[in-house]
Parts: sequence; C-alpha cells; structure tokens
Amino acid sequence: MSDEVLSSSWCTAWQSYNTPRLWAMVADEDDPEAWRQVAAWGDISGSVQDQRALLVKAREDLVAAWPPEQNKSAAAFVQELDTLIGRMDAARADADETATGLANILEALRQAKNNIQPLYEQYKEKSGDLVPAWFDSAEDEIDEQARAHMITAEGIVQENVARLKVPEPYELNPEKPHFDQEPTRDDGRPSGVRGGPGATGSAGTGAGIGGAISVPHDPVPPMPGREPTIPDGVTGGPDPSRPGDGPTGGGPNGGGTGSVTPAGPSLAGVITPPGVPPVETLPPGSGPFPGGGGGGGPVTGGAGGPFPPGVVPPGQVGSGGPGRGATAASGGVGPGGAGRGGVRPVTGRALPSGAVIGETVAGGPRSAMGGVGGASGRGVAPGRSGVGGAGGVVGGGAGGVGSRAGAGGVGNVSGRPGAVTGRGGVAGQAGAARGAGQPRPPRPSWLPDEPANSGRGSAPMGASGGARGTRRAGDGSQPAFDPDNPWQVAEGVDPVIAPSTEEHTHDPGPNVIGWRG
Amino acid sequence: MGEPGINVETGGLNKFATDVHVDTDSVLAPATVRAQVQLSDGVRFGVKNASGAVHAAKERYARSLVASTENLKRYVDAAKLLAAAAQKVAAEFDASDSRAAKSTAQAEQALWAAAEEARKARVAADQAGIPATRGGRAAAV
Repeated sequence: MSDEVLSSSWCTAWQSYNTPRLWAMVADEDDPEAWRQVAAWGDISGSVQDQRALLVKAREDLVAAWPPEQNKSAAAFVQELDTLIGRMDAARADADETATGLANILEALRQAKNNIQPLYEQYKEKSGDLVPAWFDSAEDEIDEQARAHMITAEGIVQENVARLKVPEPYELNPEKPHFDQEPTRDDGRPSGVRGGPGATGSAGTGAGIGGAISVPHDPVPPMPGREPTIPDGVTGGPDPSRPGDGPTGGGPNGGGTGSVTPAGPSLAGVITPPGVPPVETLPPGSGPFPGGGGGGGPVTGGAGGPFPPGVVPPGQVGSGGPGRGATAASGGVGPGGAGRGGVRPVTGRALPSGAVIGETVAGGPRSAMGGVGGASGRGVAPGRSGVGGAGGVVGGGAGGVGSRAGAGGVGNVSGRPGAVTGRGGVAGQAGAARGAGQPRPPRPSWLPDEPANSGRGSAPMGASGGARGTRRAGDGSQPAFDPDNPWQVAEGVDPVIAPSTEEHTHDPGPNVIGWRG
Repeated sequence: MGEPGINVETGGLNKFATDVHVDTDSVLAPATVRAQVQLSDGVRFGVKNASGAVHAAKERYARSLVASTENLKRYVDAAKLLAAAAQKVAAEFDASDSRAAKSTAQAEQALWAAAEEARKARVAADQAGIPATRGGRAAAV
C-alpha cells in the first residue's frame, strides 16, 4: 500500500524493564503456529502464481478467439482479465514478502528468547545468593545484557514491519457499456462509476478471516515508578489499551491507576505486581495510635499531609499499588520527630544499584511492599531507624502486611503497648505470618511459570522475601527476636525447663564464717 | 469475421470459461480455503512484548491477514465471474442467427451484467449475515 508504514507504535523505555520482565515478554515466543503461518504464506504465494500462470494461458486462447483489437467488448473483457492477472502477480510478491517479514520477526523474537533465557537463569541465581545486589550489581549487569538483546530484536522487527504487506482491496468492477440507460445501484449511486478501492463497500467486506482480527496485546508492565515508553517517542504515548498505563502521575486525586513518577531516588529493582489493588486506606488500626516511645504521632498522612488519618494521599498511589500507598501512610512523622516522613519512592532506601534488599528473583515484587514496612518502622520508632529499615528486608514479599503492621504500631501487634515500636523484625513477622496463613494472591499473568518445587513460593509475591522473613522472624508463630529482651517467650507456653521443687540443703562444713549449721 | 465488433469464435470463449472454472476450482479456491484455516489463528507473536515495534508489527500483520485473505477470495470470485461472462457472451452469439451489430450489444454487456449479478448476490449474502459466520472476530483487544 502506498500509506506510510508505522514501524513502531511508540518508543519503548527498555530501562524500565529488568530481566525477569524481559524474559516474561519473550518466554512464549517461537510458537509453532506462528511458523506454520510463514509456511501458509508460502503456500499462498505458490497457489497464486499457479493460478496466474493458468490465467495467462487462458487469456492467450481467449484473445485468439475474441480479438480485443477488433471488438470493444473483448477489449473491455481482456482489460479486466489483465487487471486480475496483474493483481495476482502483486499478490504473489506480497505473500512472499510477508512470509519473509514474518519469518524475520519470529526469528528475531526467538533469538531474543534464546539469549535472554540463560540471563534469566543467571538472574535467579544471583538474586538468590548471599551477595546483595547493591554490593555486586550483578543483576544490573544482567539486566543490561537482556535489554541489549531486546533492543536488537526490536530493531530487526522494526526493519521488517514494512515487509508485512497490506494489499489494497481488489474488486472486479467493470464499467457499464455506454449505450445502456444508466441504472442505479442498490445504494443509489450510478452503477457505472468505477469505485476506488473499497468504494462500493459491497464486495466481501467483513469477510475473509474476519472483518477485524484481534491483536493480542498484554504487555508486561514496567517496574514500578517507571514509564513503559519514552515520552518523546514516535507516538509519545503509552498504550492506552492497558489499564494503569495512563498519563504520568495520578495527580492529587488521580486514584490508583496512574503511574507515579517518583520525585526522589528511583527504586529500580522493585517490582510491584500488576493487579494488586491500590491501597488508599489503611486498616483502622493503622490510624493514630497512642504514643509509645515517642512515636505517638499520627502515622498516616505523611509529613503534614492534608489527608485524614488512615488515608493515603491518592496522588501517591500509582500503578505500583499498595506498596507505595502504605508507605506513604506509614511514613508519617511522629511528634517525636524521629520518624522519617514522606513517600517511599522519595525517601525509600534505594540502594546504589537501584535495587532494594529483599527483592525477589522472579520479577516478582521484591519487598515492593516489604520495604514499606521498613519505612514505617522508621517512622514510628524514634531513634531506631536502622531497625525499622530491617522491616523491609524481613518482610520481603509479604511486606505489604508488614508495612501495615509497622504503620499501626508494632507495640499493638506484639501486645506491648509502649514498648519499642517500629521494629522491622516485627513488621517482617507480620508479613511472614500473613504470607504463611493467608491464601496466596494470584500470580501475575506476565510472570513466567514458577518451578514446581521452588521454595520461594511460600510467601506471596516472592520468594526470597518470604524466605528471609521466615529465617529472621521464624514461621510467624513466635515473636521476633528482640535484642532488648533476648529470653522472651511467648505467653501461655509451658516452660521446658522449670526449677526443681525439691528443697536442697547446703552444708559447707565446719568453721565457715557465718554458718550457723 | 470482417466487421469489427462481431469477430468471435464462440468455441474459444467457451473453452476459456471452462478452463478458468476448472483451474480456479482446483488451484486458487482450495488454496484460499487452506489459507483461511492456516491463518485463522491470527497474530501469534509478541503478545506480552512491550516493544512499540512489535506492537506496530502485530497491528500491521493483522491488517495484512485480513486484506490478503479477503483479496484471495475476491480473486477466486473475479476469475469465476470472468469465466461466467465469457460463457454468457458465447451464448449470446450462439443464440443470434446473425452476427449483426445489434446482437453484439447484449454481448458487450455480458461482462458488466455478470459483475452486476455477482455484486447483487454478494449484497444479498451480506444482508443475510453470512459474513458474520465466516470467521468474524472480536475487535482488537
């Protein structure tokens, strides 16, 4: 067709995707059905070529029997026949070109899949080892390699978009002989008018494979706080068909569907799964609570925010979902002044590598919510910010709960009002408990299948987060380790070792000063 | 054979009609059916890909599928229509005792008449809702 070929719908921001997400994009490629379509286009090309050859042969016989140079009607007839032969010739070439273009696109995506798969395996190993990502930046290097493969594949695809031929509609529409009275068509137009492509709209519209064919598009979302496209791209816009892919920023009242552009350090490694409903309000218990340890100020609302207690500023809630929302609420500044207020994307502990401790491997949210717990812990416990930060680590995948626990005052959770609050361990404990006791949330559709025997699935949305939560805080049935009370036991538990009930006598012997024997 | 406009070998016209009918039924028509089946799965790549280029490729490929398979059907229809028209021209000439110019008038209209006949048949089929049963799909997701 003569129209300009749009080789890219938008400019993709590949930096917004890490290896697990990139793997999720290509994991389903190399579909045998797609390759069969390449063969089908070849079949079409061959068949059209055969038919065209037969038509050419028939035309020669026709011209011999009905010379067009001697018959006006024959000339009109042969002209239509020549048009058909010409279109079939173009159709053959188009089918060949489309087959080639499709094959190149499929091959590019297949190569990307093959190249990213080992990187994804490496990423999983690196994320599961004991070396944190911020220390060795191993995940970042893998991400860069995976992105390079995707960019390469995208370039090849872009080059081959134009090879997918979209032929103009063909219609045999002979002119009416001039000597006849001009009748009208069913639609009232003069029938002798030769319409342009598709002008009559009557021939086969809506037929074929279908009047409209579905274009499956369910892209993997970018990392939280990241945009899927580069704003000044080809079309400059994110995909409007995607929920949550709206304009940047939700605005003060933007609700939970707009993505948030963090004003502070980015959280490159944080993954928040899609489909998690944004948290706009916290549980009742997370509202203002009695001051214990000086952190008795309102937890919610952030630093002086205009929102009532228990409400997360809507503008802070983006597509990332509850992680940021809970953080925004939990990071409130207590009167004690020791808490760190603000929204997590701004004040969160983004590591040098951009990752956050506790992030999972499988593209799942590494402490997307767990980190929130840490922030809330800090916000509540004056002077114990370091401990609070651990909440994010321990909370891991289930950190959403942890963050709420932190926000609600850990003292309440542990039954020790006024005790040290904001402990990350407790926040993590709450997260772990939730992870163990509650049904697992649905796995995001874009995530690749999880290994059946993976122990990472014990906690929702992530693996290592849950594992670490378990290691640190147990299985949720015991309180977290409290360095200020190392011999603490849970209430109601019978002691394993008890003092003897026998009365012992002590006889040091004679001549002991003070011994009265 | 001397007067322009009436020089025709009706046997050649009939042969053309027969050959084109047979060829189309044996080559292009079954190929069109095969193509519709083989391509009926639609776009089978890049479902989860966030790339703008992949998205553009999917959109364009979907259009290519629809337009190409539709044209295949139209080629079949056109070939058969031309064959039918040739047959009709031959019949008109055979029915005429003399190859006078007035008898060629109807013959000259044969192609147009055949096309018009086919067009009306398509309109009737469309109004009967037949296209909806020919693989119509939901709009783009």
